[in-house]
Amino acid sequence: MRIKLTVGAALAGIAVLLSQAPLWAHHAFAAEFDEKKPVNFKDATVTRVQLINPHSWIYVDVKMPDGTVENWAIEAGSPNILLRRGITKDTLKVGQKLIVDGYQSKDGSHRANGRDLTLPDGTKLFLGSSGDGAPYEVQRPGIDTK
Amino acid sequence: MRHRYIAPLGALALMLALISLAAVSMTGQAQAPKPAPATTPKAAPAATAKPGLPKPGPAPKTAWGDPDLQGTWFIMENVPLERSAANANKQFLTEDEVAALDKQKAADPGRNARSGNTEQDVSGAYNAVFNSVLKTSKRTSMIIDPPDGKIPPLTAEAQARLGRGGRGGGIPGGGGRGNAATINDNPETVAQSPRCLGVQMPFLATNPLFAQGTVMQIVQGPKSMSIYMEDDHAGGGNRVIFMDNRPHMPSTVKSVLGDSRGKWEGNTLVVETTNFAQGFRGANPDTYRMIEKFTRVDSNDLRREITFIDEKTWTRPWTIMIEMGKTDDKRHMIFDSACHEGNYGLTGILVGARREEQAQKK
Repeated sequence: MRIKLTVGAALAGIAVLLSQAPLWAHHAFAAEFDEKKPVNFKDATVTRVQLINPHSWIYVDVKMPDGTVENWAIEAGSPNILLRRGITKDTLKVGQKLIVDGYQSKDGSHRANGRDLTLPDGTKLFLGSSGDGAPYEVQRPGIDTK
Repeated sequence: MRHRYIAPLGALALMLALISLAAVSMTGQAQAPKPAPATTPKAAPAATAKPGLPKPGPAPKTAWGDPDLQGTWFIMENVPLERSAANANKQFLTEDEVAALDKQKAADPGRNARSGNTEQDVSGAYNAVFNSVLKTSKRTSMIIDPPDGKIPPLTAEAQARLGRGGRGGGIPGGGGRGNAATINDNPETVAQSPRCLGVQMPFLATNPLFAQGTVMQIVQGPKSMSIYMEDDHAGGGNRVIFMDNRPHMPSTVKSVLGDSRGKWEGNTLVVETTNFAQGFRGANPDTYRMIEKFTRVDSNDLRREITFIDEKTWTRPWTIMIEMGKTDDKRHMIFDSACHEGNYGLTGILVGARREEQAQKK
């Protein structure tokens, strides 16, 4: 099977998420991405990064279990949001390995939203801003700061 | 994809409705309009040093001797448009209060909580991959006049025009407003953003979780100045402000960004914008105008004040102040505001609305 079905880790605080998530959050991604098609790529290699409005895209080559390689596009935030978070055009380089956890688009194309993007050393990409590279961000203890 | 726009606009509509209702419920609206106040904006006390930047130097001048407003300017702190009830009578928070609020924001698990329920998990993806939480400003409202930090009450005429919960006042649906129940009836009533009609004036950071209203670039000449306003979804906007004493366009010529004329008063560029095709916060576009003051405070900081004047809508003019700054070079960048994904938004919204109608009939 090309797409491994995964069960997302259920963190405490789902109720808090539901009560505090922005009003629009309940519609947007569910309209574009398919909750029945989670993707979890353990071995993805960055081939291209597009910092563009309205959303940035990270292209990755993914080794499939049958040995073939597929190129997938992973959606992320707008460039100035990523810049504000300390992510610049130099943050992700071609050839960089990534673990992608997300959901495939409903039209069945090789696109997914980046629910969690993780570097091989376990660092969550984007989800923690990079310390003093994001001076205007609210820093979260244990995530953005040690 | 289409719902990505419907829902935020719904939220915006709801917010506008609440504001309108609050304004309508206030009394004492029928005062004579007062002239635009001569504001002396107060900078937030003890502005914190901006990390990664050299100490601010004096405001630079252009080669031809005018104050130099040029550069990419960035909203660096979160300031609400109106002051909350919790901060009534308080123009500035203390450092301790700011720290406490930021601590609260930092602890919000909603910033990347995952869910075992995949439907919730997909919907909750507006996490830190997609948004950014700016630090809290000491300033408790963008509004500096009236002193209570609130939009003034509506005139009796505006209440009658806008009706209970009414809003808009411009071309139908033009400002992303209109009646929420019928907004997706046809292409003309769909809000502005999904029609890729560019940013809306006055370009404010009212939802700084996202980039809208937070980044702009000024390019200046002796006789005109342009402001590129980046907006991730709606398509950007490029304002031109003429500074060569030419008169405003005839009142019959209207545009979304309005018609701007500027002149220097000391180190401040004072810009009057008229001829709007749509009002702001219920303003009547025929009588609504903006007086804007741009001041380069120092090498790192730009102050933008806007006085909103419409005697047909508000019982008095009101003024906001926006402080923008420069960031380090890697964060200076301005990006083309391509319209939304694939430019299929409008078709998708209309098709979706028709399908929902059919489903309701069944």
